[in-house]
Amino acid sequence: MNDAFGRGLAVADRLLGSVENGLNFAAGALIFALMLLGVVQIVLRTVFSAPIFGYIDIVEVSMVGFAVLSIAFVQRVGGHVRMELLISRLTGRWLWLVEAAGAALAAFIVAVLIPYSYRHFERAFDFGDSTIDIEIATWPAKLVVPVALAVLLVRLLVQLAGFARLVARPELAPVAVPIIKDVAAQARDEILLSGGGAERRAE
Amino acid sequence: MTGVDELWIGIAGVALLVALVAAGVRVYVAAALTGFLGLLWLKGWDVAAAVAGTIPHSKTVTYPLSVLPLFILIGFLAFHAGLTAKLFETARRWVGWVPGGLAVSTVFASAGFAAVSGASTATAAVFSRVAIPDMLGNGYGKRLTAGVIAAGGTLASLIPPSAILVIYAIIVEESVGKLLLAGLLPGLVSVAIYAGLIVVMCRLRPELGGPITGFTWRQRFASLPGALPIFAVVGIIFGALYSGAATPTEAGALGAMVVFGLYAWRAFRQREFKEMRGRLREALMETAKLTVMIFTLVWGVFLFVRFLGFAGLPSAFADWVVALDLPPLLIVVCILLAYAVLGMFMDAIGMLVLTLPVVYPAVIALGYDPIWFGIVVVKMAEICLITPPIGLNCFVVAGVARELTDARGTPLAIPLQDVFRGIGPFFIADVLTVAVLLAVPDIVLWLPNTMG
Repeated sequence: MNDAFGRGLAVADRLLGSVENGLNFAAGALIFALMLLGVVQIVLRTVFSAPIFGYIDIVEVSMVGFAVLSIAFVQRVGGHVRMELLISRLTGRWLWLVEAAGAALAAFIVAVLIPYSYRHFERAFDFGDSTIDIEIATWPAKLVVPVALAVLLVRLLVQLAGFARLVARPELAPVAVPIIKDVAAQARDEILLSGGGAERRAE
Repeated sequence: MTGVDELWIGIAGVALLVALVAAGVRVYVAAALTGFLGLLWLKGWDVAAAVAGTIPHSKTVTYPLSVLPLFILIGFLAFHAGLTAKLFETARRWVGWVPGGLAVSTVFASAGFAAVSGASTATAAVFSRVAIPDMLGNGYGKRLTAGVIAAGGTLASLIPPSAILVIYAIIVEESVGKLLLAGLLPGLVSVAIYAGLIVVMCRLRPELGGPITGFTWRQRFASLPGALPIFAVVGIIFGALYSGAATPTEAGALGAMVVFGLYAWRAFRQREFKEMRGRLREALMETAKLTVMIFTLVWGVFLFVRFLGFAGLPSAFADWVVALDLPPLLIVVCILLAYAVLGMFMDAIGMLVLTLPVVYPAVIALGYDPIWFGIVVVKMAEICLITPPIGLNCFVVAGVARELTDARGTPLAIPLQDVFRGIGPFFIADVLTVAVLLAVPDIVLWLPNTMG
């Protein structure tokens, strides 16, 4: 059976996936850095009575890195919270139709948010907005939001295409879409995460 | 003054949100979309666009929220730091002599581990591996074994560091430090009620599980150093929060550093640096994933909250609830029951962020304390982790047990229905705990209030 569309989607999924993995890892590394910074701050303050000047400013400016950067990664692995009580009862074309509608709604609101969060950045850039204590410019942090949302939008469009493909031909194997996990599968993930189990986690 | 029309738009918004969430739309999408459309309707394009463009940044980059990833990281690192087996051994030597001693030890060790982990299901997974072989090997019943481990996991959400309490604090704009402190005594009350229940059950029916005796005092004290790191992390986080010497973020950073140091030390001794690199990377990836999931929920819901505020819905709902001719206690109990039902179908964090914006002002208007309500609501949400139909902790225990064997290779599997039956007594214990917290609010409020 000719499924060139599915193969194309798989390629797009992989390419985008490596970008998302990179962003997620960057977010993780930033969290590790936040830990180190906090320890340094405590040591400097309690031992040398010389806290890092503008510590809170630094934390707040860098927070955007783990607050939004890997939003597309989480969308890919189906990690954003939702209620699956009803949707998990559906199968075949109906399931894909509802999933496609959900992805379309998500793409719509994210597409709306991108230009306005960009404008938020633009204002900060134009007025030279900066933090209170040490006057770090806030625009780079604000620019991260539309950029991360743009990656999310691309991911949502890939998922939308993936769901649309399955609506058209439900007999095909799913490509580039998150699959609903039942409770037993979620439990398996938790078990693996806590350091157990021989099998590799499939994502 | 809020007009009636605006109120109806608010109600329509809530209905749309409920419909979208029920249809399986991701909560952040449903909340952001409804919030944006509602603002558009009420305030026009300019206001809606300005709010929508600002909130994803302004509501997430606030210093109090920066503690979240650190608490999550502590939890992920703690699994690898090799604390659980030692903790269980210490508990076993000190409290194993009571009826049902191993079950009581599991409760105490889970509580100890909860002090470095804020994740309920993962705590249950870890203790399944440590406690199931020991308990079944000593003739403990499968139901009691599975029940105590699944229930023990839920202690993680009350005993600090707890991610869900931080989220509550952010949503209702309360002090993160006070909420974290407030969780401690109720967590210990839960521990006491669990332990008391086990002792009574095993006293009445000794075949459920007997005492483990024969440890000398020397052996007991010898086991303490293994549990020391836990006390260190608890000391750091509590000392910092209580004295105000460090912010929760700084305390979280130091706690994470201690656990990371322990893990590095262990990897150094066992020459497992390669494994450590992989696991550290995975822990960081998972921390980032969970963090962005929570932050996304937060800004999505704040967009919705802004719309509800313009519509005047929370205050109208609060007025309506106060005007009801019912005792406040009855109303709060009804709200808690509604949470118990909702929690059967939804993740605890998602449930709280979605409902609090409307429910919380009403509860406060009834005269209840914000900190107290947070603790009770989180305890309710945790009960849902051990009740059907979802009961994720129960699935976790059954899932780990399936892969375990004893020394002779006999499988130690525990069927899921036995786990759910075993949970029964602990469910009753949890209901009792909530009742105690309702009757004696000071258990929650005493510690944070002494903070001044």
